[in-house]
Amino acid sequence: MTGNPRAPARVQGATEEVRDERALDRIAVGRALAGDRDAFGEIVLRWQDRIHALIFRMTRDADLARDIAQETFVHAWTGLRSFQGGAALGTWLHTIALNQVRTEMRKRGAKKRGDAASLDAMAGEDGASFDPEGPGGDPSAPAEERERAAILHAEIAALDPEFREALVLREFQGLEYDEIAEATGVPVGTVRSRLFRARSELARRLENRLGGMR
Amino acid sequence: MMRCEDALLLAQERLDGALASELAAPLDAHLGACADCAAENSRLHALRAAIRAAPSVSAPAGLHDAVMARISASPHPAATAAAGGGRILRMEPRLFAGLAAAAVLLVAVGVTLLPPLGGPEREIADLVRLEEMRESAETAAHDSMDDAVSARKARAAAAPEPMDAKEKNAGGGAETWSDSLRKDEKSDGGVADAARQEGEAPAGPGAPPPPATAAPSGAPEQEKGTGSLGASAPEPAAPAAPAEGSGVAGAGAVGMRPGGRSADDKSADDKSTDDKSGEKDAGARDRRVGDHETKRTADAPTETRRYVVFRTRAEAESFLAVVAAKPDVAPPGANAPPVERAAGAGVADASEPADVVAVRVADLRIRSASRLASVAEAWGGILGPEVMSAPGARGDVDAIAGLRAVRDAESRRAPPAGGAAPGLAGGGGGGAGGAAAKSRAPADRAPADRAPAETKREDVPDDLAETVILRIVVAPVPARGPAAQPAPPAEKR
Repeated sequence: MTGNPRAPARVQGATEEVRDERALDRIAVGRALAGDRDAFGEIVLRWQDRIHALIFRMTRDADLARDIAQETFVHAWTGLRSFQGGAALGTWLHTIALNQVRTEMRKRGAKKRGDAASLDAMAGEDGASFDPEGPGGDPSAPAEERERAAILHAEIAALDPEFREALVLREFQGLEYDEIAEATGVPVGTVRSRLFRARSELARRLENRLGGMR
Repeated sequence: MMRCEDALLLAQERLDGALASELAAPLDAHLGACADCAAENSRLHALRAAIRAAPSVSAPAGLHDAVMARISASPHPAATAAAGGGRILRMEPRLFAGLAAAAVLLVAVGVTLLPPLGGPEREIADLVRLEEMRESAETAAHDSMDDAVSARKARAAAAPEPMDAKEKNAGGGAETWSDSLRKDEKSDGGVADAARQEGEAPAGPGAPPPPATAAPSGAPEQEKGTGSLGASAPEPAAPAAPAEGSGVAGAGAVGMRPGGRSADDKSADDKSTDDKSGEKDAGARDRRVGDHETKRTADAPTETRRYVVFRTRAEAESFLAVVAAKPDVAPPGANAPPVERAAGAGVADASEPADVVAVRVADLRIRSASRLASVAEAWGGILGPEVMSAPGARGDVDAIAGLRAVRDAESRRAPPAGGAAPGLAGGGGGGAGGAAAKSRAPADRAPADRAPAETKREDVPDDLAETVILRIVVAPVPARGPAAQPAPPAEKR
């Protein structure tokens, strides 16, 4: 119940770990570009949990998350040459994943009700279709915790897509403001604003559903 | 006394570990004095705790294997680059020399003999030719500049001197291909200027480049700033007409990386330099998105032109279909036949049959961040992450949004009196039946986009004053014989 031990490295304040990870990424990218597919496999291993988690939290669909995660890495592979190294590989992967999610959601949303980019089209507003355990989740967790988690994710999913992206990238993926800005393509000030509004809105919703956050 | 909204943002920053230490005391003082903010701060912390307690999500078993199976079956990215940029480099020297000579010959013939094209067709032809010129130049520079020079000298010896040195120095004649290439190395506008100066008075060596605001002689209407494209909506401050030459220079920069440049964005210039060097390393053949030109005058908003050069008609049609299907990007009626043929488009390659030359131009005026983002996403869906992840792919949005934010802040301090808010320019594409644009007044914006400035002062309004013109050019992929063959053994490299 402590969250993905690998994902929120920054949240845990593991600056050294992040630095090491970036160094490993840079080396792996170099090797991959030199023809070493296994090096890219290392990248996939290192990032698959986080990228998949991002996609899952954005889509609330385990099968779709798996497919999009796969596409994300394949796109990263085919476009690896364009990765400049100036940005962190993780941020770059997050950008690709978000683009994939947006594209897929737009397609599905448009099919369902002609409302582009609506993630809500994926599931009921009450989160009925959300699997509280999630892929890799703990089915043995107390029912109350699972229910709370389901409500939390349902309310996150009910946020505006822009707010949801900012919130998920910060709270679950552990990205810094500037990294979120890079991944979402908006200025840092906008990230701060969206994040604050997302949190305020989510807290208000959870209070209504759970009877108080405090 | 700190304002509540400031205090809450700072409280959030502290929650995220991003609060500057010197702001901690003022924040604490405010929280101590303001019960509402203290409660909100507690709520933020409680939310953080709830989120931390949420179960983790792990990748499903087999994801790694599935990915590896997919990439094992796909070409290596470096090989892809080689298959693009390195194709010519792997040619037999004689064949290469022949093609280089043919390229020079065709460029020269194209410049001098092709019937004058009007409007967008002319510009498209230039774009196509410019790209071929750049490719030839890069190839020559990399592998066999001597061959290219020899070929050119042979051509020059066989043909009358186009101008004497004196005339040239006086700026009295057309620039030669190599002149334009050299100029291109010095400035973005080089190649384009040279190619566009057919029949026009060119700048001689040392002469300043055309002024950025100079309207191109004979330029099609839609080329001139808002021009006819903006006719459907009022423009309080019409963008200056882009200099035609430099406009294409971007495409010539054929930098092939997305992202326009803001005139006051120095980093963009730096990036451009990086891109050029990067092109040499990675090859140019498979790059498809060029950026364009950004123009800004003291009073006019920025206008950015992006040139997306597609290599195949199908690719362009696919892209346009996506764009046309997006109601927030393309206006109703934008579903014109996406590809048209423009006779006379120059292709600097002897192996290119003339009948496959097809060009199409479509202008989309995009005047909001969300629309631009939508188009960018469409690019990503079709062109792939190698394009979207390239430096500058989103930089423009940021740069433009940043400019807008500054302007908004200024206007808040001194709101314009009585002036109609800028509408969204719209209009159909050029002579080739381009996609249109649509108009939408700021008043039509969703309320969320007009949140009170006090609570959203750092946010960027969705509607931007700048205009981004997406210019789509379809260019054929010249058949180059060995080009389609797999990469040669390593020793050839």
